[in-house]
Amino acid sequence: MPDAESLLNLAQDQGAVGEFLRENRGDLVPAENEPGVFWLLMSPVGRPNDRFLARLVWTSYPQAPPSVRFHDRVGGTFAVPCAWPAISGYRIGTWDICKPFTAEGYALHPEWRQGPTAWPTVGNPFLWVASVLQNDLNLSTGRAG
Amino acid sequence: MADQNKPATAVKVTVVFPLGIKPFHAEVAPTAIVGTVLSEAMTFFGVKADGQTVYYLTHKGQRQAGDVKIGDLAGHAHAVEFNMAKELIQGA
Repeated sequence: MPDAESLLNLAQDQGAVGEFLRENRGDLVPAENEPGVFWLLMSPVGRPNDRFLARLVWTSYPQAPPSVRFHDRVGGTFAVPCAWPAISGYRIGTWDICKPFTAEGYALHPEWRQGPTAWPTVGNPFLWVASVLQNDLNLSTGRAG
Repeated sequence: MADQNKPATAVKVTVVFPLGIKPFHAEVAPTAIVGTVLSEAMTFFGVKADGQTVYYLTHKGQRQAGDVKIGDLAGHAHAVEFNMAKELIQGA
């Protein structure tokens, strides 16, 4: 569970995230009784009826990246191919996003912690993660399964 | 960045970058292109593209090519807001 400072930082930044997602026909829903956990409802810009649900888990904000996985429904499972968008680096089977904006990606590639791929801690990293997910979705070719 | 002889219909440009402390603001001629605004915004935010990251501007969720004229996006509003995206060229 995130510490009190992380929760305060998240509370400060999540408003802009919700606004960004709603501008893109999505939404941000804090998980009930799970501090630091958020559900991001999103759809690609060219396919507004194609809905995806990402679960973000923050443990230390903004110091550490979140765990990011796509789920079939709120409270459901991530181990379903059709819940994931077809995007390079978004991996079925291992159920992770191997890119330098997720906890899973940095765990697989410690070298990303240095240089231009290092996790950013300035500005609004929560908003940045949401924007990366949205931009990736906009380029997706459909669902993974 | 503002042209000294900018026309009365200069366009107010705002670029929002999630990892920036504050937005980038400028006034440009309608004939200015997205690529120029992107370059100025990247300088403002202190970032550079490299082999692993690229930056681009989106407007209303759509990525904008560098040669698009600002005036074509602003229309009668004479103002346009962009989001600057940082794309990570990585993957499994």
